Amino acid sequence: MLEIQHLIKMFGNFKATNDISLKVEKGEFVTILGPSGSGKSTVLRMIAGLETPSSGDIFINDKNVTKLAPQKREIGLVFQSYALFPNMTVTENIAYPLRSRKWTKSDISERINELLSMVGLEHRAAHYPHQLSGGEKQRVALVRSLAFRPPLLLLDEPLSALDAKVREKLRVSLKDIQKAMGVTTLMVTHDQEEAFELSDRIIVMNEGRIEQIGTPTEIYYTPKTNFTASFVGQTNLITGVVMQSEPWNNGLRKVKLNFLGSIIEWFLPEKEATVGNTVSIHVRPESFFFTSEASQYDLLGKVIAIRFMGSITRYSVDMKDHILIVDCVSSFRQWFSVGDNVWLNLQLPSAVDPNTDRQADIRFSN
Amino acid sequence: MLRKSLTKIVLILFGLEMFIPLLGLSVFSLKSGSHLSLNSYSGLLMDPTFHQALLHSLVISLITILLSIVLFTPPVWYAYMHYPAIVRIIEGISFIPFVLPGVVLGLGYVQFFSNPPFAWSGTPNLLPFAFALMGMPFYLQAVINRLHLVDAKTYHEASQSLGASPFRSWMQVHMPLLRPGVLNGAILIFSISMGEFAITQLTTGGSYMTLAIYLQVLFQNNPVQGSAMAIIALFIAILAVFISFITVARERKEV
Repeated sequence: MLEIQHLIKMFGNFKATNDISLKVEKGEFVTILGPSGSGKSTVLRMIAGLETPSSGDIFINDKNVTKLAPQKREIGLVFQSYALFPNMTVTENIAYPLRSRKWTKSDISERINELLSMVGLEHRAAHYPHQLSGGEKQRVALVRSLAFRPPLLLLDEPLSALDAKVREKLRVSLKDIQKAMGVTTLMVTHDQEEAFELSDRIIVMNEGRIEQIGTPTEIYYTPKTNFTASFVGQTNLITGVVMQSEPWNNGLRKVKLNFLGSIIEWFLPEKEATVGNTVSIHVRPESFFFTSEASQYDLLGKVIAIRFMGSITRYSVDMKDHILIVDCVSSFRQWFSVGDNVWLNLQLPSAVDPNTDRQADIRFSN
Repeated sequence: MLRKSLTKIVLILFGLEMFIPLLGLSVFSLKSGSHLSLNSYSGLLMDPTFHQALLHSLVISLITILLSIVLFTPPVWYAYMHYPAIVRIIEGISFIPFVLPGVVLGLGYVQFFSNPPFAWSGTPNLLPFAFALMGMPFYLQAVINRLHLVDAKTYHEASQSLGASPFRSWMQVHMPLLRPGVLNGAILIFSISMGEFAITQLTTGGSYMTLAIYLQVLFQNNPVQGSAMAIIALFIAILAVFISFITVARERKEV
């Protein structure tokens, strides 16, 4: 549906995007996730026609739109600041793209009613943007961009200006609307939670380059670069020596690593799983759990900090000067105190199930 | 406590400094022999020369406003949208008339427009151009402030992405968005044009009766009526500022 080939954008000598190529299939919800200055918004603006690429091509439904004016691209775009025209009512705002396309009055009226009822804002039809709440503005901006039934919807940090509660609520309705209308959607955000919850696939960007493209679970559990691993969620970087290696499935081997004198069981790609090899693995904080009994697979450490974060409680555990982050579900939290000695065990990458094709909860890297 | 008291004292002193001359002028304008009356005001309002001066000033002011809107708005809008760096240069240049005394500007105009094909010296034709130039910093600042305030670039992009033609976009989005800024700038230009004296005197030789020229003549011949005229001019200026405040308050509420 949308295809980008070798897109480069230079601002003077600064390369904002560097050789970006990606594909978005019809009806997919894809998110570009990255920190500020990663070039994600520039990619979106180039697709919308608001920036001209220095080189590369953009195709929408196999048509090269790289040099097409923004108003001729038939793309819905939702801005971070909503960009609702302050001199127009909600109805006039939604009618704007339809009037530009010379829809008849009755068709416009019918479409506006349909869209307003979809987002539950019929009672706001005659209001001006400054009379709406942030969430209402966002919903109007969304339906305005969808009014003319664009084949592609672009969302530029659409929820970032809202407070947490409204954001959470709108996320759900955003996904519902996207599904109901079946519109192909490309969203840009720096909010990982938003990206994970809404997306079919995530594109991680950093310094103008694509770091990784994958499903949310692939991005979370099998990051391909150190940047993805550290940017997406919390990780513990553990470096150990392969002590033992035995065959597993899906091109993986089950290995035993020596980490600070303790043994960790893990999975590695065959090329890395050579005995004697020093490897680094990224372990998610929730992959650790506390045990009461010591075994050869347990790690002994001392609690140096405890942070209650609502649904989870985060422990910092000092293990021979190596700090491990451990997350526990708060409801099942064990009441350790700072200074307590604790035993930690590592949850084996449970998603690597020999009976399925799923590969998750593992990280391979040198 | 001390700070509050000091602030009050400063404000009172400032108020007195502003108010006492006005009070003096007002009392003087009401002087009629040994008692006070509104004779000077009624005499002024009945004077055909005053009517003519008011009409001339209004016409020149309105032409100046139109000229400013047409000459200054499109370039500053275009530069803001497409070449933001140029806006800073325009802002810099626009401040030149601030430091240029009216006399210098007037003499320059007289010198330049004394010969064909623009032998306009001695006529009021030059006044709108001169006043527009004098009011340019105020006008441009009002429009640029508005552009900043409403984040005009985002609305421009939104309009484009919604499929509007540039003409439709300009008429239905940009013009209404810019209107408060243009109105503000226009009010400031109006105030300047209504009261300008030096350039009018130099370029027309005093032959074209505007309110400022009328005021000067009046002060020489009848100081009491001159004071009444000054109070009326002040009232017009206050009204303009008041309208300007209302516009600013409204535009801030809408954005």
